[in-house]
Amino acid sequence: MSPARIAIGQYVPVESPVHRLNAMAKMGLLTAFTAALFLVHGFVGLAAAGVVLVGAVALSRVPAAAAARGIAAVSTIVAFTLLANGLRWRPVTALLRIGPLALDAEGLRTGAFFALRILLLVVATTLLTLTTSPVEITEALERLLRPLRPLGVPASELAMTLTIALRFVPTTAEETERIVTAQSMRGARLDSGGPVARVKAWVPVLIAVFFNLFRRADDLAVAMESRCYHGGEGRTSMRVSRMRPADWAALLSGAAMLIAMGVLL
Amino acid sequence: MALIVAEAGFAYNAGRGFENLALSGIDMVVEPGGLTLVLGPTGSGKSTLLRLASGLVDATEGSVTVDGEAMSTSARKRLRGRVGLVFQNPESQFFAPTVLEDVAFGPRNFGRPRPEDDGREAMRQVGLDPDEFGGRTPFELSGGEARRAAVAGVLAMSPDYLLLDEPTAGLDARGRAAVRAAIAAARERAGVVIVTHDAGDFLASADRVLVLFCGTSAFSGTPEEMLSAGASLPAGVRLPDVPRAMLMAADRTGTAVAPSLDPLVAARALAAMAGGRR
Amino acid sequence: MADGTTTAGSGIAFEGVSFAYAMDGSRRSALRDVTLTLSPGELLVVVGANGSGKSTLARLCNGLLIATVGSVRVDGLDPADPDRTWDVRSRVAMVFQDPDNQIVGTVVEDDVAFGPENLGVEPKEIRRRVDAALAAVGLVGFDRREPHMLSEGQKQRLAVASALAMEPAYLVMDEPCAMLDPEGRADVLALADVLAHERMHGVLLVTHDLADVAAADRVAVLAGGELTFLGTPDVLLGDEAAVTSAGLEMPPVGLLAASLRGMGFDVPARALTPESIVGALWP
Repeated sequence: MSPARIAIGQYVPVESPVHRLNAMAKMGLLTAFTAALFLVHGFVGLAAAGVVLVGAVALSRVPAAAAARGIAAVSTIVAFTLLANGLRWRPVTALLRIGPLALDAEGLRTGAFFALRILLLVVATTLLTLTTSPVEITEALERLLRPLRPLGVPASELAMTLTIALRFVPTTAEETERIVTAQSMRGARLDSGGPVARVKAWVPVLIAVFFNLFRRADDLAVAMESRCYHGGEGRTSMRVSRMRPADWAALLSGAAMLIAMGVLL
Repeated sequence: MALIVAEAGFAYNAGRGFENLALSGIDMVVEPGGLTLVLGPTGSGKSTLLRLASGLVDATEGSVTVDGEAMSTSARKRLRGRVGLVFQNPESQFFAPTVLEDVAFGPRNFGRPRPEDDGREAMRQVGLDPDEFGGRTPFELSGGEARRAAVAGVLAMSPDYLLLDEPTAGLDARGRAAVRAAIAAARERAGVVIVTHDAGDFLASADRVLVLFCGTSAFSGTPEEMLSAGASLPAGVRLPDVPRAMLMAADRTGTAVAPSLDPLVAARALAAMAGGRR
Repeated sequence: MADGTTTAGSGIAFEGVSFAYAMDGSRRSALRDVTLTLSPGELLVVVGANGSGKSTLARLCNGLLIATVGSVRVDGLDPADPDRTWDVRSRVAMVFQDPDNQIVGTVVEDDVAFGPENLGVEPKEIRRRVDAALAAVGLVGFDRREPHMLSEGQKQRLAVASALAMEPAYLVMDEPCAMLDPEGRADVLALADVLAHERMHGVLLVTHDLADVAAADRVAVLAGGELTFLGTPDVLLGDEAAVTSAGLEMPPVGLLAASLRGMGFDVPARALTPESIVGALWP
């Protein structure tokens, strides 16, 4: 499977210590990593975080290109961050002047810091979804939300909704593509004309897509009821997601190290 | 005047490391009034052929021409409406509050002066009375009616060539008969190509048959020729049951037989092979 | 069962069942006065044209719809009784027409586990059922496959596996082959045959295609919501009037068999494949 075929963040089923780690531990570590990113004072701290991240990617045995794919997606935000911080209005000192605007060394440095932080965050999150299957993620979310049940949070139902949504993403994408093709073959001008015309042109596609989605939801509800689905009450799970000692060790030591790094660096 | 596919092929990701050859070396000629049946198991490349012929994708080898003009993704806009494509389960594209509005969608987009008239004409062609069905909501139609309404939506653009992907899939006997009649009516003005994995419905009325297997042409000829070639067709391609029974019986008894789609002709042949009436 | 309210093995029993849809103030009759029983170990095929009421009949089997007149009993249990609904639904598993719209899991094994999870079965037992169900339908090794990577025929087999994981006594299949290619159809029909005759489930197969009755023990024909025939496939296939009046079409191979019978050959009516016809002529 070539790296180009793997969509951003999609699960890559490979054997690795990172894959084997419990999803909740991974989420905890991601949270600690994020906290560390916002605690570090300077580039040294970010560099250290970067080293940790590269190590994690290597440990996970996913193709580096897959992990880096998310970067392309946020390139606009990164560029914007750089410029928003780096450009000044008629400053006294400047690296480069463009009319009344100028690139300022100090501003660029700040911008680079923020941009680098964004990139590290994106790669870290991508690593989570690359090493954790959608099922594991939803299960972990459900377990984490479960304590909130007495407060009225329908943890199990939310997890089920998320699972179904994930399950149908590829199917719905294919169907939408078919409908787009069919309507455009009937002359719908979906990619030309001004914004108003374009929005109007997409209405037939969207109506058809929505109608199919509702019909799908209807059919699925009937199928689920037929298999005795009645909400989270009394439901068991084939997969028992348990935090083993190794998971706790990884989570606690990793979190401690990351927070320390954030505070010290 | 013809839709000509000449030695055409299509490869996904052509030229890159992971090229996937979906179709290769296909020849097909369709003239107005003709009916070409494209058979083959799932994955044989039938749907890719339709995409090539309608200009949805560009051929990576060979050529596709419509009445002498080259067909391609860029030419498709210019050759607008000459080739109509009816997808599988086309009912999923319905969006309008009334059947007539949905059917008239195509001609309206192509700037026809009176799209509703084109719509009504197309509905009549497929056997849906515009006065009875025009004002109904498309989402309430029965299987056969919905299928025909979707076909009408494409016919309303007056294509010279009509391509259909599994037009009778999922319909009951009455729905299939209605769609067959609609296609026969369309054939009066257009050249028709039908892609299916079930030969039964259209083999008798086709004038050409193309059998695809693993992206290449396993057979090209008339239906009669195909029936005779029965034994030499690849494993994944099956003749309809009646001629197949004749060939199996001929095999058993070591006799020669001219396979036929007609059950009565087949019965007489089988009876003769089994030693006459009992 | 000890409580006496169920009679296991008594089947899905329809007694004078009628059903009407209420829509926009008017009532549309979908089923009228239907009486039949599906027994364990039996393959009962219900044939009818679209609109004949066959899908309605399927949905009455597990309480998705409740009869407006008459009674439906599943091993003695009444699907209309809200306290019994889940009981009924764990005994009568359903497979629907659209392969995609009944698959819930993000991977195959999770979809098969869905039913037992709903029933509160304990994890190790769920795993055992999942493995057994996938083996029964020939999808061993597909555990971690994503549904959109399966062929339509494989998706339907997955749906059957997911139904079997409930360990039902009865299986109701509502036009399971309508959206499949010939290979997928053959697989699903073969499964229905095995499930009824080897695994002793009661299987109700709803279809519009007469060619699907070959392996059936009995056939029921629905036309306009009424039961116009209930008997063996041989009798039905020999009765062209019963077939055409119900809006059904004799498959060409069925006409071939009928012609041969007319000429005096001993070809059973249910010989609906070239193999079985040739086999009958040259035993």
